[in-house]
Amino acid sequence: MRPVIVTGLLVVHDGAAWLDECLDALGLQTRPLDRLVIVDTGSIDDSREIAAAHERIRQVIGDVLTITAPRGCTFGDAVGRAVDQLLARSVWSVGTDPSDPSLSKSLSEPSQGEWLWLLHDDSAADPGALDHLLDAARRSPSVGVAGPKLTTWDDPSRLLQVGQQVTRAGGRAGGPATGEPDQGQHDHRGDVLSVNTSGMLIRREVFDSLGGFDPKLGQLGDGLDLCWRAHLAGHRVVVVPKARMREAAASANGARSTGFSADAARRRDRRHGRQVALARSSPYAVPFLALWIASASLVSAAVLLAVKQPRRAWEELGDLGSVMTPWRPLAARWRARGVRRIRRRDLRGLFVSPRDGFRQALDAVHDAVETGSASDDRVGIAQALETGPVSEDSESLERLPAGIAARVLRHPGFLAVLVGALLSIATWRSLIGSLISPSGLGVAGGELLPVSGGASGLWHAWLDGWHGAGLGSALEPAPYLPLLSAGAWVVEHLPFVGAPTASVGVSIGWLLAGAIPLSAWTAYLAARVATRAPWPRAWAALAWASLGTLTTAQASGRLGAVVAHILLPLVAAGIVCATQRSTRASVTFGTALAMAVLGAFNPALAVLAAFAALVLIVGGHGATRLHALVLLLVPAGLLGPWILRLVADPLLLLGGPGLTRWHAETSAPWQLALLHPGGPGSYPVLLSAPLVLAGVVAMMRRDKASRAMTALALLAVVGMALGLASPHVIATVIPQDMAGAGSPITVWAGIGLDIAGLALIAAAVLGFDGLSGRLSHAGFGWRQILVAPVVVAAVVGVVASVAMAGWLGVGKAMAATSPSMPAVAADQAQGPLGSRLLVMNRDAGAIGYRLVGSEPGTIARDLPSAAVEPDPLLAATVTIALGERDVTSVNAARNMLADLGVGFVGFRGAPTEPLVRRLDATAGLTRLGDSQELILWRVLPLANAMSSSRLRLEDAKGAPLQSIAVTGDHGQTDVRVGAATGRVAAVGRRLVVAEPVGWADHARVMFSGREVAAVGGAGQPTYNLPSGAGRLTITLAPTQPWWRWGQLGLLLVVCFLAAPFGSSRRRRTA
Amino acid sequence: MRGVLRSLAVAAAGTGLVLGATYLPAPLSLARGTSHGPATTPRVEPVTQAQVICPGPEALGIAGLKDSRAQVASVTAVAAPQSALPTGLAVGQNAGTLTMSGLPTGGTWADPVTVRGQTASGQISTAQSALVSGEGAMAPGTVATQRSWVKSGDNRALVTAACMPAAASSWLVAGGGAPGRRERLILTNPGPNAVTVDLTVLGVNGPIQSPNGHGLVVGPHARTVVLLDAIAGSEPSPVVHVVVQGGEVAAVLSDAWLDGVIPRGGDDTAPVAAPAREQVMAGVAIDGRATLRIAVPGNGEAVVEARVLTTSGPKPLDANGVTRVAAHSTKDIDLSALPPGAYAVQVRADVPVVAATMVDRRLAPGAPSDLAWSGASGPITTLAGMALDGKALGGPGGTGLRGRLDLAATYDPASVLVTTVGDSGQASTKEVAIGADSVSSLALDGATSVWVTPLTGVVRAAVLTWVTDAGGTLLSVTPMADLTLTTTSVVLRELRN
Repeated sequence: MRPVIVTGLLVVHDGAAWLDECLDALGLQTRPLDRLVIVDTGSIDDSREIAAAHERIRQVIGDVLTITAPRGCTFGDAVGRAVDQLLARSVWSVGTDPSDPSLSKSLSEPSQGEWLWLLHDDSAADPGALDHLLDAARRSPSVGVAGPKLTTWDDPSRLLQVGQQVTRAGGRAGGPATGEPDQGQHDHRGDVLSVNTSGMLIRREVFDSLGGFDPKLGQLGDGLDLCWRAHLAGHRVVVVPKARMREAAASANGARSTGFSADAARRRDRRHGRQVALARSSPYAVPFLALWIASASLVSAAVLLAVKQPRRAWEELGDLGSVMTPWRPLAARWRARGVRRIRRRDLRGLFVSPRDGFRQALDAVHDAVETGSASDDRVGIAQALETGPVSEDSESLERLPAGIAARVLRHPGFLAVLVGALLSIATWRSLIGSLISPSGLGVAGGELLPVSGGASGLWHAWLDGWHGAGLGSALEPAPYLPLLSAGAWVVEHLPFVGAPTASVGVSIGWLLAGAIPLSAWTAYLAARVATRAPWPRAWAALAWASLGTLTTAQASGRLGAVVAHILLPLVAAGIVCATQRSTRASVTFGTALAMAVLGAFNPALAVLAAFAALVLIVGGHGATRLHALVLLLVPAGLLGPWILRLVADPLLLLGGPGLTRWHAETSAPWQLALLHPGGPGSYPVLLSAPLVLAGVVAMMRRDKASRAMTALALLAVVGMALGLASPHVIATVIPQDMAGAGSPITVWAGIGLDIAGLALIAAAVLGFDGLSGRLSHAGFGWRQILVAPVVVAAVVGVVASVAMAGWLGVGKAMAATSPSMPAVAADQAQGPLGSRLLVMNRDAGAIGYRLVGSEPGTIARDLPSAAVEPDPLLAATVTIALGERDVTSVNAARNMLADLGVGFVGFRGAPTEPLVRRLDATAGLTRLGDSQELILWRVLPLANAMSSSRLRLEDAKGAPLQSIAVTGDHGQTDVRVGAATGRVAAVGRRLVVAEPVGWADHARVMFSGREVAAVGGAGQPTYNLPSGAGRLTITLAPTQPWWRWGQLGLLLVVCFLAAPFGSSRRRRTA
Repeated sequence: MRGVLRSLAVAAAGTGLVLGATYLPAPLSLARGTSHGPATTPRVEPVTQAQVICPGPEALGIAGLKDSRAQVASVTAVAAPQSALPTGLAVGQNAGTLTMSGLPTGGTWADPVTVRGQTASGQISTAQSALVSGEGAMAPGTVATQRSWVKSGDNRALVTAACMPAAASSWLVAGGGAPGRRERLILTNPGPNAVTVDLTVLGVNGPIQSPNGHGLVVGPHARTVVLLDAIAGSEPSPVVHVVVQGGEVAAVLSDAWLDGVIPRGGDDTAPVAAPAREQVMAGVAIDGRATLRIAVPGNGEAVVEARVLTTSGPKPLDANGVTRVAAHSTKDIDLSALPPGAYAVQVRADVPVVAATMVDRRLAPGAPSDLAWSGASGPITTLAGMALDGKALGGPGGTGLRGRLDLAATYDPASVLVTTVGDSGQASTKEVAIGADSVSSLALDGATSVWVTPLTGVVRAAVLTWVTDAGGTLLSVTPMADLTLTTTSVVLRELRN
């Protein structure tokens, strides 16, 4: 008896492509097989013929047995059948003498040293593979399974598998990555949890004692399962790196003629792995494991979806399938009962640690998120190549923190942003306190109106069908409100903002103050389309960030201009990119997103950008047209119904938050031509002259950039023309109900000048890019004489502008916001009563009045909207409160104020005003005192001590019963209302809402789940409420809900598409 | 070369644009129409509601004291006859009413009157003020007078007070430090809300520091009587400043003097003209003791020049013509040396002052007497009037009450129309000329009310009423206040951001 018998079990399934080479390799083994059983699982290609015709293998091995199995059986099945057939002599196939006694004896009685070598038809073992495997396996009797190092079929120097490593949850981890160059980096491995079934050498008795493969654990999980069980039975599983084997992994790659695709195979593999883990781990751990698998699968899928890896997300989601079929692992566990010899925790060292698994998942995300800038690519490639044992030197070079810090500190873009930040701090030094102190309410002044409110209020001001300050209206709200709301939401979650009602003011303050570094950053990024050289880009960034248009815009609170200044470089660069065929979709969608934001804040500039897109559609071709179409349609879709309003009233294009000029003096035309619109925040005009000069001089450049230069020249002239024309174009006049009525309102000149500035800076960067190289080609001439001073002057001019802008500061127009309401009124306004404050003042002979509630008002001055008739009820109330009209009831004023939910009346002015006396003498008002230049009266409670509130219950005769708490703006609520009692139950009760009649068209009032209709003809929204107790819900649905859903959906899609995830490296290799 | 041309073209275009913008400033207007709401201008309309408050019996209802005696005050109210109203004042055709009611609410003592010039009279004998209210067409020119006439006994006096609208700040000048002299401050809040009243009393030595008088609460539609002695008991020359928080009150200071057992009379004073650098008191009929009281409310010492206006022009005071009054202080200047006659007193100072004059009537030392205060009043610009009595003065079968209108013109000659309404309701008008810096008097016999409509000049007026009996003359002086006939409607404007 031979001490060791190795029986090869080669499973063939449509493996014609590889089988010949596979058999060749078997024939070349330095330690030949003793026997070979070829199991054909119903191949429909030439496999059977190839196997039958291979003479050499028969010459070398002699004992070659071919059996057939049904087509549907798995690898494990096939192996099981082969082993079964070893015992049944009757199935010797034709061509072999079944009567040879020696053979039958040796095969039917398992010898002590018998091994099974499992082989795939798409593998090719190195000649020494079996020898090495046997060598390693025979060194220790405890080794039950040994496996070779698998390399790729095409290139044996690239790794496929060196043993299989999994986490406790059955997830593959620990590499090597498929195709990783083999530099021996994994050759230290010995004991592993599992080896691949391809080339698996397993002791026959181990195989028998384990009962072979578990047929229910699938084609790809059975190997893992067998090895795991071998471990549990006390046998070692080792990988022998010296034994090498090429493996085509045809099943996993979907390369077999039948079977599933590579993706499906990968999903199956994952699922089977999870099932094995569930079947083989401790029964106590199974529920936790299942929970972990399910949650990890969901979270990973979500994260991968977010980083635009939908395929991998789908794979992750496939893990859920393993948890969905709990009977499989249970059955497998039942079948393998009694096998375990050792404690499960002894296997601890074989699993990949959770930390490694997590790190691997993180790496996958990181790979996807990497944006693929030039420097990142370099690092990425270096890492990809660094596959062997990493030398300490190279590692330290990669990770040296000081190196990174130094590199960042020397990075021109970083420096430009840093200088911008310092300039911003210097400019805003007087107001920084109100932006970072917990009691600060933000800033207001210039065009920026004091606003108090939180993110939620602003959001509802945009979303709700009835919205706005005072009594509210149903007009289409400004599209920038949700954007500011998002900013406020972020601010609300910062630790240094105290009152939540201050978040809007503070976030706007931060936006204004942060505009300089942000502009520098966007300009630096955008300048890349003109030049790759970092220092000119840094110059452009600082030049853009210190333009007079920005310093004056932020000092006057011109919100729309500031946001436009930040976004304009990105939009311009995006449009330039759109002209190129190879532009990535994320760039196009990012530009579209930026254009939408631009349109929300600065419609005029967005229209110009849309015009550029239109030109591209007309004059472009193919992909360019597609890009341009995205740029045209996506912003329009995102802005939604606002576009319709623009179409209806094109004059609104001239407006925008803080983009109009009401009273301020405008600069002289020559100052405008030097890009200075004038006003607070200006610095000496001549400092910008070098910049303009540089732009004009740079336009001389010809060669490749000539067409671009012509376009920039055109843009500069157009911008200049717009800027210079702005003070001469009267958009409208100040309406009668505002101070300075009748005066013209013109467009702020800075909008046009910003375009001109952008064109001039771009021209300068483009014109002087690579200048030294170009000049050296030409002989010495006037160009050399002209250019050097211009460049020097441009740099000096920008530096001087930065210094002067910082020195002069933000000016006096902006100031810290003071509370718009006394604390007591604010308390009740924001509380469940939602009461309002009626503020009056005297202005040039007239008494102005305004209702102030918890709803935020207009953020920045804009074109006045169409004349709105004063609310008659409010006007009558004010008249009566002032004693201007004879009243029949002494409580008339109080009742009317209560009808409007007015809890407080305030007068802003001198206490000696006769008006103050009148209000003092008004029944139902009681003076609370003077605070913050506001004399305050409280409106006395109605009967039942009921303070003024937005919602109140009355009986059928109009006698107030109780006030009802509000939970949102404009009377929105969700509260429980008790049952009516006594007399009220008999006569009925009604809900009166302190809102104008128009409110009812937008409100949905539900009581006990039923919608209640408004009572017709009432002076205020009134609803008859049933007597029983119930839940009262009042909501103000958006006027056009489908628009809103569409906008939000489109925003999500565009954000997803615009996210620069998925590295360019991956795209290139794809 | 093309590049150079491009730069030059841009430069040229820029220059052209700048020149164009500089020299072609014609604006292009895109404004559509002008319809942003009509421009509203305030309208001047006759008042439709006029309220004056009479203090009621001054001796009744003193806080914390039991009423020591009964007192009856009669109130006469009247609306100006149509002929006295300025031409062009369209008071509307709707019927108006003149009503009289009590404060605190309760009691109506006279039937409402709906005819201009017809007096309504009533009597109050409880601790109430009277609210005289002209509504609708009767509102412009609503006046009322309260009178109490005690013919004998400790309280012998003729007390007349013009009923005034409530105010947030009032200066009251009366009283003295002599034993038996009592000053009662009657505060009436006609409004629906409680008000807080702070009293400041200035004296010869500066403001009188007293915890009393601060934070007095007068309830809605309520009346409070405060004894000034509780604040400034022995102050010889008190001047009271009433400041109201949260509303307005009508304040009247009642001055009553019982010198031992000799009744020295009394008078009510309505608020005098607000602090100013010139103050004029008309109706100073000196015939015996007379005093000018000046108070300086401000922080600076005042240099005060006082003179009297006579029928023949101004006349400086012999002594004390120019005097200094310390800040926050008062000073009395004796005018007793002046020969009997009709005077007006003019006070000019370098800082704002308030002023009033007191005259006395006494037959002989030791005899009963009566005093009368004439506070400084503002010039009449539209109309001033006074209800004299339910029955015509000096007429047959009358009460014996006589009356005289004293007019004082400052600076330039002036002329006024004086309208008197007789018992029958017949109004008669007469033009009266007053010389520059002079006074002029007009008897009011046969009148139930008198009205002064200014034509030219700066005129002030006061009405003297007196009655002479065995004990001597009982006198009262009532300055006439300019009436508010019109109101400027408030232009309301709903503000938007």
